[in-house]
Amino acid sequence: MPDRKFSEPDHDFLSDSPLSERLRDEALRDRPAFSLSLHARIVQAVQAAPSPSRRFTERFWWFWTMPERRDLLLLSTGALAAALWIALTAWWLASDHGGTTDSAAPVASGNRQIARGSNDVPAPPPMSPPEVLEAASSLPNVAIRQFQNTLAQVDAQKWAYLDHDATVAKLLLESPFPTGLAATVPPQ
Amino acid sequence: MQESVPRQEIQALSDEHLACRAQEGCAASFEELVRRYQVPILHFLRHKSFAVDDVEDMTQETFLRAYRKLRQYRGDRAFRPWLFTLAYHVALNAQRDKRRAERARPMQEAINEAASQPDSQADPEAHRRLWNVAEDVLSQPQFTAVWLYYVEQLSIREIAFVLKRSNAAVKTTLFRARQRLEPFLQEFAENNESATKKRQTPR
Repeated sequence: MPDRKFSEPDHDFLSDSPLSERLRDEALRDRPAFSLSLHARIVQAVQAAPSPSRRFTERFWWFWTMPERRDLLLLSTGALAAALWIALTAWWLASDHGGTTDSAAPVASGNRQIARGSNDVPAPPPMSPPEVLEAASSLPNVAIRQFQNTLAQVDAQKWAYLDHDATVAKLLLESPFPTGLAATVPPQ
Repeated sequence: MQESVPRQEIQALSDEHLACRAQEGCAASFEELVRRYQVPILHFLRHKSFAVDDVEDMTQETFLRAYRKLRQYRGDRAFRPWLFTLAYHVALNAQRDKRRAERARPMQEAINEAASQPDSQADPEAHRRLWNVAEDVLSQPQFTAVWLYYVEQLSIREIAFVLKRSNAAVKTTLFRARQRLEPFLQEFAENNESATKKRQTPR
């Protein structure tokens, strides 16, 4: 018995009419007969298919044996693997595993060496107040000696393609400061 | 997987019960479903302008899909609309493939092939069948809705399940389909009347 559950009460346009009667009569007249050969063919095809209650591995094997679906499975697996490989490579490069800072340009390395050199100038040790006063009296000599050390380091560190500038800088530093004069005055 | 289940017991079961048994692996239950629905499915697919062999292939494909998708079938739903949903999609795919093949084929080749084959519409009564007219003037969803409603006597809700539309949309579809077919029905009625008058007129 057909299940006719209309939610709306107003459905006059679907009620029996000459059109609906004609459609039903025609369909009834044209209805095909049951075909035993078609039935056997369908049953045979269904029996060749895996049962819906089989385990996953068996159904997967049946799926695998269908060439068109197997190709699709291989293609999608390959695409997924390629995407994962690209993502891993990008992550590896971004996390700076692919390079080091040792292969920097000579200018940059020179800068780093100079910076390291300036850090190598020994800082004066911390002193107590009497020591500070005593040191202050000999401050000009200390300052001069530190200047001389710095100048020596600048001279020793020859920058790539900046030798000329370094030489000029050295001369400029030397000329305003009478380092020679301080050296001629004996300490008291 | 053959089970010796009494045939009378199988025939007394409802479609839904048979489908649930087939889910558990009962081959006889699914065979009974094939027996019950072979003609309705074949009849439904036959009105899609396909060759006879193609229609049988499509029928087989429908049942194969039903067998593969049995795990997805819910026993609380009616089996008939579920099966017709599969048939509907098989028909849609076949029509799409047919259109693609026709577009790809050179026109002269199509003309030559049509000329060499016997015309399947040579039936003199074909033009008087309203269903033939419906095939030409109705869209796919309209034709399916009309067929399922008037021939298979599915409810609006069940047709909505098949077409994946709302109940209101199905009613609108049916209404519009009837509007398109009504003029042809009148034309058939007039032709019948004139034919009857000719037979009654003495010579």
